Amino acid sequence: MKSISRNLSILAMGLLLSQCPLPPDAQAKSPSSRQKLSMAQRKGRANNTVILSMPAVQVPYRSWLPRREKPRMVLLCIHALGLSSKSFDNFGRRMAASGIPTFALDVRGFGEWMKRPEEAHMDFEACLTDVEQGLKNLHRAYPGLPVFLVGESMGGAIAIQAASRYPDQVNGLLAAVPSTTEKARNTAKSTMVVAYRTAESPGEHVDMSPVIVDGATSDPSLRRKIEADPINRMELSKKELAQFEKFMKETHDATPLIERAPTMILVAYKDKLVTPAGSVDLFTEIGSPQKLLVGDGNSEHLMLEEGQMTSEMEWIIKGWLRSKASRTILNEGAR
Amino acid sequence: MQAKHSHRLVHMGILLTALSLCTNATSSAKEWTTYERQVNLMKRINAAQKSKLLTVRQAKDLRKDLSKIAVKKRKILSGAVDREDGEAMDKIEARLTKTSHKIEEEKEETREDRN
Repeated sequence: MKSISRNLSILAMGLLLSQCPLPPDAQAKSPSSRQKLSMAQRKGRANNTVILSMPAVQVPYRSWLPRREKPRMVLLCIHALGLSSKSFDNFGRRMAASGIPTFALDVRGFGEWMKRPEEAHMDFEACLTDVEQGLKNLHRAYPGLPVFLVGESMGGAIAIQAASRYPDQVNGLLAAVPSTTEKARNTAKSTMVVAYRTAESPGEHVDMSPVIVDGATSDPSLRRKIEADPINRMELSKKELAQFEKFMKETHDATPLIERAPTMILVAYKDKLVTPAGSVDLFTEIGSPQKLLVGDGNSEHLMLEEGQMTSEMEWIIKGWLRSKASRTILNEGAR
Repeated sequence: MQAKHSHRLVHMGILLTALSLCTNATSSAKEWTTYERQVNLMKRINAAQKSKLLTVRQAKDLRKDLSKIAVKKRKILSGAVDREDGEAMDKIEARLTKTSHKIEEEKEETREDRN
């Protein structure tokens, strides 16, 4: 196993274009972040400074960096509803072990954002801006290397929308189970989005763990682990769940705009949370001819996070990433 | 005499290089593909949303327009639309121009509201 750099506290991902002030709580944590950065630098990651050098807003993220291998691509991961960047720990380690620097950010309202009361609510527009700035910073930190977006479930939908908005920043896209809705029927098939309708007021919080956790996995030990982790957030307001439902539906408008980026969509056929049909619809709508749909007959809802990536899926993903990354580098060289 | 001749050659070289650069610049300005126009419009929408010249709602609607144009373009390129290719693509270009004007109009309205 190659060396892995994990940033367990809030690190600064510079957001040049954002207007938000730095939360005091995040400022207090920056010295430890800098210490961890120095450790990463000693391991040969001098460019990491670029990622952390423009802090207008501090976006919590984690990274898993290869020790020696010269990287050929970079991954930026976005997590599912209720989870955090920590859920990519196993995935990040396995990618870094193959020489792929892997970063994962916390979506607004989740993970380390919960420690900042004023930022502790779901905000997809701000999250997309975070992703854009993260992409720009990674391109600066790894000049000439393709940057791939990776997302699961809600994170997959965010990755698709980011790829449609920032086509010149996203060199490839991997989205696992990115849909909760089937466009043809225009109905929410997920039990997840039905839950909020039972809440009485917009401010009322709904405990989503019976839906998210039980739907995500049938493994009792994994359920306990997800529920017990304080960084996961299972209580969401009715307003947030309505926003979530709307955002997931809007993903269907974004797919035709992905015309060039190589795209891989993963669907799970033992998914108890959402039907695979919605993700297949998204795949069909994607404009890029370089698209690949992979269905796993044995996977439940989580295919990449919480250590759920099977060795077969790892093999497929790494092979696809390598093939698309080298093609991207070749195309860049030909310009 | 020889020095004068070499000076002339140098001047000719500079002139030809300048002409070639001008030609390249003019031709590259004309050679915007439909895809490049789509990307450029998306960038303008993103920038206007960030500078608050477009609301989130307006930006989403404009992106939806671009999405519909992309779907139409895909149908044309796949041969699913029964029209002459040139004519159909002209319509796509016209829709992109319309979206471009719409972005500017909505930005202008916001500026006027601010004043």
